[in-house]
Amino acid sequence: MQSEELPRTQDERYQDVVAGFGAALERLAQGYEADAAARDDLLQNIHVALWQSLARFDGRCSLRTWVYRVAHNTAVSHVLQRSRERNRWVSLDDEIEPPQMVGRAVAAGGAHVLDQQLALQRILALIQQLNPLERQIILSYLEGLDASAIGEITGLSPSHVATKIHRIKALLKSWFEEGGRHGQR
Amino acid sequence: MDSDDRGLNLQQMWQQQPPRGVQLSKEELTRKTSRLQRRIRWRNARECAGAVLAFVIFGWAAIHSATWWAMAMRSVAAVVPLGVAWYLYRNGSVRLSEDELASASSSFYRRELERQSRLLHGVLRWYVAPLMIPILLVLATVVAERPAARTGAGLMLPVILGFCFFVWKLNHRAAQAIDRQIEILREWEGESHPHEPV
Repeated sequence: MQSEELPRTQDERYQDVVAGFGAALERLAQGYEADAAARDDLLQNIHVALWQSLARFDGRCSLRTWVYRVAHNTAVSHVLQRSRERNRWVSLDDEIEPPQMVGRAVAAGGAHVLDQQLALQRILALIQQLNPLERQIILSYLEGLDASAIGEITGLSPSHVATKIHRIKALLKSWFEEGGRHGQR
Repeated sequence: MDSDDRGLNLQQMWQQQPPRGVQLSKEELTRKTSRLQRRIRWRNARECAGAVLAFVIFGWAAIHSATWWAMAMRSVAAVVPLGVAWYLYRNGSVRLSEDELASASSSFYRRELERQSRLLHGVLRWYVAPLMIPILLVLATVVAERPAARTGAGLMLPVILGFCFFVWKLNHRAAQAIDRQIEILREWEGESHPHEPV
């Protein structure tokens, strides 16, 4: 975004962010916090951090990149404060067990709303056990961002991000196939 | 359905979740910002007041000591809390600047891990030593003044040292786990920017 296109005040920028990214921020908070009350706190902290940061936004990167960086970094600080969880994080490079029934819902085409909700819950269970950076990549991928955009947010190269996304897709695919076989029984 | 179709399906499912429309008013944003700043100021003030109080008490005791070695021990006990407060102020949980929050996420994550690792590796300096030094000094003073207390002090010493070792070991293990995560992140960053130092 060029500087001449920037809204003049911090509050106007915040309104733009809420209008453009409000729903995405809610979904992002879901990926970092399983507890509903703590998730609300996290979401409010993200809003406060964004509002404060927008006073310094100078257009050196796109507004989207800025918003996702601030939101993810605030969420990372949130999860790092709970050091006990850190020992349970896994990486996509590890062997990750598929949550039960995740595949059945999606392999069936995701037509049934209940199945979709179940699938989303299971995917959230995967996201919430990943380390923060991989969590960020998968959340950004689910938001429809491409490898280049995710690379700009994370600071990793697009090719590295693409590799991670490929692993995520492969992991989910194996889960679907596994779930599909279970569904046919 | 190939994997890309499934991915698209997942993305659609993810993005179609109904939003709650959370938005904070300017008053709420200002209030929450002020509350956060107050909380940080209050925490800093508490730590500072505790260190100053300990300094005054042990300092007063040092000035009024009967012997030179008691004065030396109490002086050390007076200075230690100030050092701990300073260490925690420099390395503890700090308010993040807007520029830090808007930095690339991998480097932000790595810096946060490095800060935690420094804290855990330094647990002997900022937790164990400040806790144990006054206890050991008091113990030494008691033994010097009452030789009959030597047996009791002799029994207490292994317990104290065992506690120190346990705390150090626990934190050292946690620090090593964090160091492994930092190494992985550096590898990722190195793969992403092979010509830049990380």
